[in-house]
Amino acid sequence: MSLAQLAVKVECSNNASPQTDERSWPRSSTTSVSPQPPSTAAQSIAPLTQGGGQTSSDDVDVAHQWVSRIKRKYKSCITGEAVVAARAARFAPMPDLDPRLQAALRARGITQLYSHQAEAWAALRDGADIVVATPTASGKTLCFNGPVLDAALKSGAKAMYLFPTKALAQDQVAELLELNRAEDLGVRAYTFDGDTPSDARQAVRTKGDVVVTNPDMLHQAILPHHTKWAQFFSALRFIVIDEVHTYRGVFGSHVANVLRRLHRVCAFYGVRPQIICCSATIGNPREHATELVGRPMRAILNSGAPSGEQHLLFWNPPPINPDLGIRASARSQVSKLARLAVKAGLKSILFAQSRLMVEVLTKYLKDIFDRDPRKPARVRAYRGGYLPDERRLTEKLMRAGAIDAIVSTSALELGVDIGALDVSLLCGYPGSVAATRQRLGRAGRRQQTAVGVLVAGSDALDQFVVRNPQYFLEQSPEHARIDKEQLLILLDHIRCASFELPFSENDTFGERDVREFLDYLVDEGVLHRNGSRWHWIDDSYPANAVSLRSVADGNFVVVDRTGGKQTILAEVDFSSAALTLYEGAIYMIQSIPWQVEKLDWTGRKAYVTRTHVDYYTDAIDYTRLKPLSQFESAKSRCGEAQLGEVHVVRRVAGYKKIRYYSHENIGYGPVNLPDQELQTTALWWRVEPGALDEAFPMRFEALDGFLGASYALHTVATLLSMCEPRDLGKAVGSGDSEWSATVSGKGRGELRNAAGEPVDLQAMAEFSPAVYLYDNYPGGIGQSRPLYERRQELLSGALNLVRNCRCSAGCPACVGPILQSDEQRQPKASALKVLGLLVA
Amino acid sequence: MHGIADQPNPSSATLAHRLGLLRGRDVRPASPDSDIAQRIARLKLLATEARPSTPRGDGRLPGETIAPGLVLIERKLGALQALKLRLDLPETLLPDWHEHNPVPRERLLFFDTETSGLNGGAGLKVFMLGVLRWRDGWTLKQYILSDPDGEGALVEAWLAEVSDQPVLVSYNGKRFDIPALATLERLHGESSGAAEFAHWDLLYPVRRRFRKVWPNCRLQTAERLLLNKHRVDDMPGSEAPRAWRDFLRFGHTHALLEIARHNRSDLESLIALLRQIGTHGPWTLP
Ligand SMILES: [Zn+2]
Repeated sequence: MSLAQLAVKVECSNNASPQTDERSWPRSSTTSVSPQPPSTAAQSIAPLTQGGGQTSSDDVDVAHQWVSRIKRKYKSCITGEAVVAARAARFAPMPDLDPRLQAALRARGITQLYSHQAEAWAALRDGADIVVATPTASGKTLCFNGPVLDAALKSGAKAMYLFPTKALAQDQVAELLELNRAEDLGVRAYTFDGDTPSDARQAVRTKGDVVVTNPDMLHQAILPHHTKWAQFFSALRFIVIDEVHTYRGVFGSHVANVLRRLHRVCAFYGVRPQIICCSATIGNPREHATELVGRPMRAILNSGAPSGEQHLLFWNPPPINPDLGIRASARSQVSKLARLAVKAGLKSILFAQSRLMVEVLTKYLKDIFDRDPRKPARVRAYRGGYLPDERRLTEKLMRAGAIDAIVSTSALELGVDIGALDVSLLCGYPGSVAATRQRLGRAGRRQQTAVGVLVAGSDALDQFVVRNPQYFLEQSPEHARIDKEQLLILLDHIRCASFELPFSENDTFGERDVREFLDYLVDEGVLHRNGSRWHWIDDSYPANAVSLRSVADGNFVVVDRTGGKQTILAEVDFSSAALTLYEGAIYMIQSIPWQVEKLDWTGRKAYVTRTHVDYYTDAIDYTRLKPLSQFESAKSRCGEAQLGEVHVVRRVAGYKKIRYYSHENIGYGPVNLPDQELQTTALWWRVEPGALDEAFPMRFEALDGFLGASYALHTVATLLSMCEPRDLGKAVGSGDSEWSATVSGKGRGELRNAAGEPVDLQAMAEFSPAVYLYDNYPGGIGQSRPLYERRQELLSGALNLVRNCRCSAGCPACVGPILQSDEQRQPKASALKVLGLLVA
Repeated sequence: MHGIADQPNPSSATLAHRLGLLRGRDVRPASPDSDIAQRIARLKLLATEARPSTPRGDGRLPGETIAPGLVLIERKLGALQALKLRLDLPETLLPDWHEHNPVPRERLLFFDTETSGLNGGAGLKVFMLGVLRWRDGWTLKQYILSDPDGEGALVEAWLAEVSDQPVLVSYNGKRFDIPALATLERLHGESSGAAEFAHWDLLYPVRRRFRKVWPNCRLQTAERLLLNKHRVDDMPGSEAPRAWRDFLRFGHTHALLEIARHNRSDLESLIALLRQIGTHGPWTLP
C-alpha cells in the first residue's frame, strides 16, 4: 500500500481514482515507516529488475540530510513539495513451479514473491489476461518471466515479448539468459529486430522459446510472413506487451490494430495466447490495456515491493528579468543541483529533453568531476545514438555503483536496469505527469530516502506546472487514449490483414465488421472477391507502406544538404508539414536549429542546412473551421461549448522570427503554400455577440483576448491529453468559417476572409468569434472528446495559467509572446476576460 | 467488354466518400460536399492502374477445370520439336554435384511458378505452376488459378506432383519458388517437404561460372549466351502480376496465356540448360 504524506506548501486532497490510488503521489494519510521486511533468507529478495547498486551508509540517511539542506538554502526557488512515505514489502509464498526454475530463482536470491507478482501468477493460472501497473523497479518482469519460463519448461510453450525500444528488448533477453544460465534451463530467448542478421532469423523462428521484438517488426516482418513462423505461432501461449503506456495516440492506435492482426494470425494457427501487459503509472491502465489488446483485462495495481521515502521538489529558476518573464536556465539549476548531490556522495540521474542538452550537461559536470583523465569517469552520458556496447557498459557501471552522475534523455525513462539511485533531476518538464513520475521514480531505494527535483524551463507548459504544483499533484496521471477505429489507420491495417489471410464473409477484425472496407479495397483493385471470400491479388507488400507513427501517407522527409551530400534527418507528418517546414522556417531537431531552404511540396521533401541564427520561427496561419456536425453541446456563462466534426482549411501566410530569450519579434517572412484541408473532430467555444460587446468596448481587445485564450487553452490541453503540442491544433475564427484570425507579423490580431483578404474588424455587422481546439490528424485521433468532457478543468487550468503568470501584459508562458513596443495592449487581461466568459 | 470495377461498388461508396473527405487535404476546391463524385473518381484514378493496351482475349482459358478455381493445361512435346529445342537429355544423369546414384530422366521434375508479385510474404499468390517431366516424352502441365479460391486445389496438385520425391530442377527455385510454395502449403495446413528434396537450382552453377563475365545471370541471358536461344514476342515475367489481375478483374485472357507461353519457354530452357551444363560442366552446384 502506498502511504503518502504531503508536506509543507501544498495541500492535497485524496482525489485519486480507485484504480490508481496505489501510485498517486499525495495521500493525506500517514503511517510509520515499516521496518525490515520479514524475510528470513540471508540474501535480499531483490526483484530481478533491481541490480545491486551501492547503498550509502545504513545509519545516516544522506539523501534526507541533503534534501533538508537544499530546501533551507534555496527556499525561493522551490514552488512546491510532496513527500511519499516509505512502504514496506509484502510477500507471498512461491507457488508450485518447475523445480529447475525454482532452483534458478533461488540462485538469484528469490525465494518468495512480492504480493503483486503472486497475484499476477495466480491470475494467469486462472487463464486471465492481465495488466500489471506497479511502480518502476517493483519487479514487474518477474510477473511474466516466471509463468513464461515455467510453461516453457513444463510444456514447451512459447512466448512473444513486445517492447517499444531495442534497448529494452536486449535488456530483457540478457535477463532471461542470466536466469537461464543459473540453472541451465535450456530455454532459448532471442531478440528479433532490424539488427538480427538474416542468417540468424531462421533459428529465431524455429528455435526460439521466447522471441523479443517490437511492434514495428511485428507489423512489417513477422505478421506478413507468418507462415515462416508457423511452428512458433502454433506453440505460442503468452504475449507480453511491456510499457503499454507508450502505446497511445497515433502510435497506440496503430499498435492496437497490429494486435488485431496478431490475434487473427494466432486464431489461424489454432492458439489463443494469454496476454500480459505492463504499464507505468497512467490513470487508466486497465481500460487502456483492454482497448489496446481488444480483450477484457484483469488489472494488478497494488505493489508489494518496498520503497524508501521519496521527496519531490518543484523548482523554478530565479528570475533575471521579471517583466519579460526571463529566468535563469533550467540547465544552470540542474548542473548546480547535480554538483551538490555528487559532492554529498549521492548517485544522481539527470534527465534532459534533447541529446544536445545531454552533451552540454555532461560536459559541464565532467569539467568538475572528471578532470583527471587517469581516474575512471564519474560522470557519463546515455542516450539514443550511442552504440549499444557503449550503452551496455554504462548500464553495467551504473549497476556496480561506479558512476556518480548519469545524464540521459528519455532513453532511460523506461525500464532499463541501472541499479539504485538517490537523486533524479529533471531539466524541464517531460510533457506529461506520467513521464514525470516515471523519471522521478528512477531515484528510489528500498530503505533510503530518494529525491526528485523537477526544474522548469521557460516555455509555457513548464511554467504552468511549476507555478501550479498542486495542479500537477492533484491530478491523477493522464489517461492514455487510442482510437483504433480511426478510419485511415483502420483501413491501413485491414489492407495488411487481407494480405496476411483472406477475409471470409463472417470474419470480423477485432469486433469490427469490415465488409464495407473489403469492398472498398476490391474497388481499389487490391482485393478480389469470390462469393464469400476476399483475396489479396495486388503485387505490393502493404505493410511497407504503413508507418506506425503517422496517420496519412505522404510524410515529408527533412533532408540535410550541407556540404553537397544529402542526408535524411527526420520525417514529418503531413498534417504538421505546412506549419513547420515552410521555406525560411527554423526546424529544430534535438535542439539543433536547421533552416529550411527549399520545400518540394509535391515531392514531400524539405531541404535544410545547419544554421546558427538567434531566433526561432512561428508560422502565421489562418485556419478556418467549419462545423459539419455537432455531437455535443453545453451552455456556458455567455455562450456555449461544442464538440463536433469540422472541416479545417489552413493557410500558412507567413512566419514570424522571434528572438530567443527576449521573445522579441524581429522580422517577418512570406510563405506561399497550397491550402491544407483536413476533416477532423474539434471542440470549440462561442460567446454571444451581445455579451462580448458588453465585456469589450473595443473589438480588437476581444480579439486579443480570444487569441490569448486559445494559446493558454492549447497549452493546458496538451498537458491534459498527454500529447505533443503539434497533435492538437488551435484556431480563432467565426463559427461559420467566414473569417479566421491570427497574431500577425506585427504582433497584432488580424482577420482574413476565405479569399485571404484582410477583414475590417470594426466594419463587421456582427462579431462572433469562436475558439477551437482540434485533432491535428485527418479523421481525428480521439483527443477532442475527452477534452470536451474535461472542459471545466481545461478552462480553470487556462485561467490559472494566465492569472498566476508574473509577466505584466503577456508572455510566452501564458498568452503568447507580445512585442516589447506594444505594451499598451493588454492581451493578458483580455484573455482572462474571455476565459471568464467561457466558463460554465 | 466492361469490367466489374468500372462501377464503384455501391456498399463501399459511403466509405469511399468518407475517405475521400479525409484525404482531400491539399485539394484546392474547398467545399466538402460539392464534388464527392469527383473525389471518388480521383481516388479511383490513383488506385487503379491504366488499362492494358494488349488484346483482351475471349475470356476463356483452354485446358480442363480440374477443381473449382483451378485449370490444368497439359500437353506432350513432340519428339521432333524436342530435338529442335535441344531437349534430348540422356536416360540417366550423373552430374558432378549429385553424389548419389545415377538419376533416371523420369525422376527429374522441372518446375517454375508465376506469382502475383515478387515481395514474398503470406499475400503472395502463386497463380501458375508449370511442371515438366519425362513420361515417354516431355509432358508439360501448367496449373493456373482461375480464381484465388482454387489455391487449396493447387496445393493438392503440387503435393501429388512431388509425392514420388523427385529431383527438382529450377532456376532460382531455392530462394523463390520453393519458399513461395511452402507459404501456400502452410496456409493450407500441408507440407510437401520439397524444401528438403534434392534440388538442382541451375542459377548457382551459372552464376558461379559467368558472374564476372555476363552483365547478369538471368535465365534469358543464359539462354542467349549459352543456348543461342532468342525469344520472339515473349511477354516478360514482370508482366505476370498484372496479367493475372486483369484476368481476375476484367476477364482478359490474352496476357495470361502469353505468360503461360513464357512459363513454358522457361521450363524448356531449363532442360536445355541442364543438358548444356552436363555436357560442358562440371560447374558444381553449391
Ligand atoms: Zn505571462
